[in-house]
Amino acid sequence: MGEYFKNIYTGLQSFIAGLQLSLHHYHSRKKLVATLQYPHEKWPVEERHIGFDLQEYNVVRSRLHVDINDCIGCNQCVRACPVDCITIESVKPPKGSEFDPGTTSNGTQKRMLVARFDIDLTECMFCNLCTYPCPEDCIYMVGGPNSAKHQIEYEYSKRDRKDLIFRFANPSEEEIIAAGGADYLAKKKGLPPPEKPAAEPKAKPKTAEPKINYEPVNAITDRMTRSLAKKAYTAAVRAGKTASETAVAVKQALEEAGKYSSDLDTVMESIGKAELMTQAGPAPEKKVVEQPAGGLDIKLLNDLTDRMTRGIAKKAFMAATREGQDAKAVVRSIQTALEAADKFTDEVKAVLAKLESPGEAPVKPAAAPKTAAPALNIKVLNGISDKMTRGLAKKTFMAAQRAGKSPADIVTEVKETLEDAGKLTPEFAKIIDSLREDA
Amino acid sequence: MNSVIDSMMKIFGSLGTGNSALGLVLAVVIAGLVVFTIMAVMAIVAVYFERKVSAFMQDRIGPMEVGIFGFKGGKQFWGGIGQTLADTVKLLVKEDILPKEADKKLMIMAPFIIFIASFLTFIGVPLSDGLVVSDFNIGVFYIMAAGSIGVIGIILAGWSSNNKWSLYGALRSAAQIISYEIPIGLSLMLVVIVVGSLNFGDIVAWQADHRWFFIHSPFAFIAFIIYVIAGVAETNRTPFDIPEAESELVAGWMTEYSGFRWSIFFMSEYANVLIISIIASIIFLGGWLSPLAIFGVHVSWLEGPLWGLFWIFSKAVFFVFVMMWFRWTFPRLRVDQLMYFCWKVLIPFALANLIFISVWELIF
Ligand code: SF4
Ligand code: SF4
Repeated sequence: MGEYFKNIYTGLQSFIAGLQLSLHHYHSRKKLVATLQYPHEKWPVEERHIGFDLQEYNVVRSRLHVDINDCIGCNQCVRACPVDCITIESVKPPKGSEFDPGTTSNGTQKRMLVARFDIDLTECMFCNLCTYPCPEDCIYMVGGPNSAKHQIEYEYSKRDRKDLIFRFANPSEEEIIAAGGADYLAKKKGLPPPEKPAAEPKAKPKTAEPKINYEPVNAITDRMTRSLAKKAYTAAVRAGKTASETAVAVKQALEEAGKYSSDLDTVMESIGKAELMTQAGPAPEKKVVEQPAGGLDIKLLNDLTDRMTRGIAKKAFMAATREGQDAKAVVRSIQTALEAADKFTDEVKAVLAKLESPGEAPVKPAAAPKTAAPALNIKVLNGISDKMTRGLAKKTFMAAQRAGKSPADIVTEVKETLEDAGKLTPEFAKIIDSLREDA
Repeated sequence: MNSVIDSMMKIFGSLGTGNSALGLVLAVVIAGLVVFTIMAVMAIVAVYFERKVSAFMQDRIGPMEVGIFGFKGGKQFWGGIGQTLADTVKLLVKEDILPKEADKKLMIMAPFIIFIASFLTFIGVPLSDGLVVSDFNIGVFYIMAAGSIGVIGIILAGWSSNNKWSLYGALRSAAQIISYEIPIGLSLMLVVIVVGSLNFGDIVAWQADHRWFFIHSPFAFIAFIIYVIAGVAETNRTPFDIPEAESELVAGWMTEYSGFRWSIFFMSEYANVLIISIIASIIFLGGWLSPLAIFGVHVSWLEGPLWGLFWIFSKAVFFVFVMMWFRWTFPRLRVDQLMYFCWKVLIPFALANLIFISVWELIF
């Protein structure tokens, strides 16, 4: 009997102790909760000691990472990838643009803005081949020897397969536009290219405002300092300051950045005296470069039919004009170059004669396709929304143009081809018609 | 007699239909729908409550992902308030499986018998002063009787499933429920002896005049404890859940059920939990009386039918919490322990209690 009551007593005791324990946990739930709400929260990864030197850790099968600020957009990695899962699109600032893509951490001046750098990790096979050719060491597998650059990653879990396309480059639209990529942006958004930028990007430097003369600033040797100076210089010139005022402004900007030293005094002086603008006026930029020799037009060489010949001729032309030779000397040096290559034919002779007396060139029938075709703007065809149709239209257009047809003929031919292919809708017909209006 | 059915019939009568049979049908249908809604909502809310409480007691956080209409609740307790709703929808659209060898008629019937038992019990349970579907003068007895019907459904379910786990579960369940009804009956008997009435209204009125039963006398307090423990066993919840003991019997008598039928079992289980809790609060904790009444303080605006509803539900929710607390604290009893506990501990104490309370009533 005593045992019986003792049992009941211990039973009650443990009953109460148990209830207390679970109530304690219930009340201190904020403190004691052990759950990690996984997709929302994650444990930090620990770089544990894995039994051997990190340097020897085999990074193959780790994950790729790109330090996009260091990427110069050279496309080497794209070429190396066996499965083509890297996509790079870059925007090259037009000549004379003051956009500065910056420098990499190795000190290389970047030439363009990397507007898109996607790696499709659903396709990547972790072969590590893309990392070797990179001149800036900015694409690499994380962890192991690279753990200083990027900690190791252990998971790819994503809610959507699309999220496995890692987009490393993320420039803002303003940046792209500043780098002269309005065109690119429009294409990406799938819009027909905005009227002007599409048709005139090349024409712009030719006819637009006079070029800024950067010569004095280019004398600065340090790269950082130079780009800073250029910026200030451009701003000052744009604001219409005089040479001496510009010098002061540049100096001030450099001082603010703590980059000014007495070595730069001479540079400032030369800025103070310099011609800020090359007074090119409406003169095309091309002329400045290519036509010091009495207005020779390199395009005339395009009439050469043989590819090799054309190449050699053009090369010689450029070399000669760069040396500042006059028209006759240029023609002669082209001739010598071609003779050396055993390519000097009658055709070449005729072309060179034309080159020497440029006045007649445009009138000659041989140059006709060159002058007639540009009257039509092929970019208008970009307005055609269907990809197949657009391709077909463009192909026909090019063929007709090459055959030297008149604009009217080109338009009819394009239309006919599309009709034959059963692709001609009234909407597309209107676009094709607008080819001529545009011209 | 002051019940919802009566008052509704009076209202329908005064509307001038003159047809008392139609009024009766309308009143019954409306009351039935209300009871059904209470049971369904109770099941949904209680399952959510249970999952959260169990999670917190085990240092987890429970459902956290599903919200209602984009509202996802706060960080901890209300974190996934849409979860049970989503589960309900899932249950209702699930495939309805009947095993090939099962006794199909009985198997289809069983969940409804269990459901009808809870439903019938609910009819006699007052939710506030006068707020009862049908006010029996033998209320306590009726509830005991109606609550016992459920065991028929359980045995049918276990038998018809043609599955040894189900049959074992059903047998255990029958043994358990029949055994534990005795201590429940004996502890309620104590109250009936003191009050001298089986009517819930009278019992609460007695408590209003004297004092609440759980502080009435040491014997009444022991009866209260026995009632709560046996009540947990009546609802087949852990630590007394050997009929469904998932580690031994898969899911006991519910093994072969799924989808809609299974959800009816679930609804009945939680309805039973609510019924046991409400009866415990009516009989031992003053029912719809305000807690201030213990100290003899009567604030008039804290009383009245609506406040009564509030008080009775707060007390019931407390009991529901206690049941969950038990469930997530204690390990399951063995079958022999279960029987030992009932027949050798609870019943002797309850019997002794009856004798002592009679003596107590003679003296005081
Ligand atoms: S690791 Fe291999 S497959 Fe992946 S991106 Fe680099 S080269 Fe391509
Ligand atoms: S090889 Fe390196 S620098 Fe070049 S595009 Fe790839 S990541 Fe950029």
